[in-house]
Amino acid sequence: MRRIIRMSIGAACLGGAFLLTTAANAQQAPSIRSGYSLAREVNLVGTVSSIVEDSKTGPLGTNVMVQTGSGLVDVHVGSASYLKLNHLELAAGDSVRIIGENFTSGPNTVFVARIVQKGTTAVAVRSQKGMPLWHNGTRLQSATTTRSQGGAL
Amino acid sequence: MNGSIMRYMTLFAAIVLACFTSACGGGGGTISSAPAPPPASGPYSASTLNGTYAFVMSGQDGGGFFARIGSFAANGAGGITGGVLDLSSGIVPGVATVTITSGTYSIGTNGLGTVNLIDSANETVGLSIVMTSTTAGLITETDGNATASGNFTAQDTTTFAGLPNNLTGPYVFDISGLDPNGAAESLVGQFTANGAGGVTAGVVDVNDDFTASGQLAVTGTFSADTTYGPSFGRGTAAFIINGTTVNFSFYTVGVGRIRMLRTNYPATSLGDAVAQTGTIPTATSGLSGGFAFILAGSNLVGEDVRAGRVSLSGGTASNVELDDDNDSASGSGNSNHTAIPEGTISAASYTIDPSGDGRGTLTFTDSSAGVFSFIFYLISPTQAVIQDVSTGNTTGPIVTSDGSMQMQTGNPFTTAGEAGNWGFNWSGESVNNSTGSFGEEDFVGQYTQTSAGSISGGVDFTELSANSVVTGGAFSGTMTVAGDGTLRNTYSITLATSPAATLNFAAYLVDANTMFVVGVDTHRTITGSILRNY
Repeated sequence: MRRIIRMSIGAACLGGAFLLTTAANAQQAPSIRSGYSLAREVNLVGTVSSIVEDSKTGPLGTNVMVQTGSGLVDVHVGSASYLKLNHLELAAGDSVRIIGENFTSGPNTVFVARIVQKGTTAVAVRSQKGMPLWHNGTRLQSATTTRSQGGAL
Repeated sequence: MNGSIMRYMTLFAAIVLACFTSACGGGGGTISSAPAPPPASGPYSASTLNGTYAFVMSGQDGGGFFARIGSFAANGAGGITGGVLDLSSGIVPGVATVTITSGTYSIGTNGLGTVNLIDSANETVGLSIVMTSTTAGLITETDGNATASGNFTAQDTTTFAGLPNNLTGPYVFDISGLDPNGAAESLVGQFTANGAGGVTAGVVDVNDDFTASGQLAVTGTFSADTTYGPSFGRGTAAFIINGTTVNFSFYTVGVGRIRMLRTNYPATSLGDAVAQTGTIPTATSGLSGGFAFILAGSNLVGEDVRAGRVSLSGGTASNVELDDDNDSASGSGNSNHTAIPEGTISAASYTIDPSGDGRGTLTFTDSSAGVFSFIFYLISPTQAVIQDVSTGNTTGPIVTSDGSMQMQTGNPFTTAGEAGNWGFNWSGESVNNSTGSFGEEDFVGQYTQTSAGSISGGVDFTELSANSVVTGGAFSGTMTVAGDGTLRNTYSITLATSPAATLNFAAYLVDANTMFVVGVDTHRTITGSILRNY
């Protein structure tokens, strides 16, 4: 299926097509009111420092603090329970690769994840248009149909 | 109960984003509450619920987002004597049609009560309810197996035998939930039922996965269910939209309304189709006055809920106010409330489709927050369904949501004028301060407001972030009407829970009996309606 829920690392498009970044750059990040853009996506690689669901500044939901080579990045992954339902549990010390986009939201900066990968497991937490998918729970695991994204009825 | 509110209440919970029952809680987050005061003497009792009732609800269960619609029969003496429901859930993946075999219910004099539906598998769905009239009420699921919000309304059983041929004339519909890929979708439109089970001359606007379709054609069919149709008004429908067949089960309230659940699992959407009434305007001159609206759906970072109001006259929109409560964090907390105007409003206008289908558009630009755009379909000259296609600071929609728009009448409003007895249902998501967990929450309750604006009442709620269900909890609060009440007002309640919690809202008054509220707090995104219940 085109929309990736779980995929092997070999099939994941997490490679060199994406610009490798090491830290968020607030000055260059668009406003969260600008919408998600695949063209602006970056590939974030680092180590989980902490997992926070009651972040005081991040968007409501699960935020993962990722230590990269040049700093700590606040990554919004949506819902930890959705990741768990899709067999991806994060803990401090885990090496992760995250595809997403950096946004400014008022005085804050947040990296909005689309795909979260740990080891050989990757989970799509947003659609290619940035739509949150974590409210699906297990329902897509049982889906047998293949549908394209974006305005698909 | 107001029809537009009823429809809205099926919508906002359908798009609430939250975590899942099986994974929430984190241990030790149980909420306790002081008991609600004895209810004031009111008009309700078990005998109020007597007949068959069509219900809709949606929320989160252990499989993620789920929706349930159906019909139950109450005997006027505390017994549920039968019924049927359609459940779309990831727990047992797919859509199941399940017989309701028995059950119980209770209703206090203030309209607060419970309904327990027992199905053919001997499973019980436990609901807390509040009656908002003698024929309708609001729902929150409080059995601890799931959380959901919804509503129910009395069915006209005399119309069951005539299905589907008694569905005739123009209807406006609003269906929302998830598409097959799990992205939020909203469908608003209008169709004509031909009195022979056919849908002709339909149109729809779809906002699916932040993609606005523009107006598309709809055709389709309605069929009666020979098993459950005669007793519970159940049927099935198929809409063909842009070459895609979208299937539904439906329950008729009467010839003027059907309640629909999309059955193309894993897609799950629900809503109502309501007969158009009155003279539907074909020009902006035919639509004027103050209108309040309420919307719920998704944005980039999660749930996005909005309420507001606007004055319409001759194609120009003015006196725009809107409160946006979403999961982003542009302020000091992790759930952002933005009051519009944030900057300066310009280019505020509206249009009406000359075809007579009731379609219109509303748009305005905030110099800070960007472009707000909406599509609406008029049910009557005073009510509409409304879809959010706002583009913010970009070119495509940054939100997928929908809701209800209603003319403001009976103003000026005053705090004293709001005195009386009210029922409510709110839905949203929150982060629990104690557990640090994130999840959906749903509230149903009833209260009395004094002429000075003091509020006291009882509430039942499920809060996944605390892994808690509270029934019979007390709360107090205040309602303050500002100016003539047609713009933003303030509403606040404090739950008598441990730990205590205060919920602050912006409130938009529709009429003497209806208000829309949207949360303004951090740690919580929430919206809902409050309806005078006696």
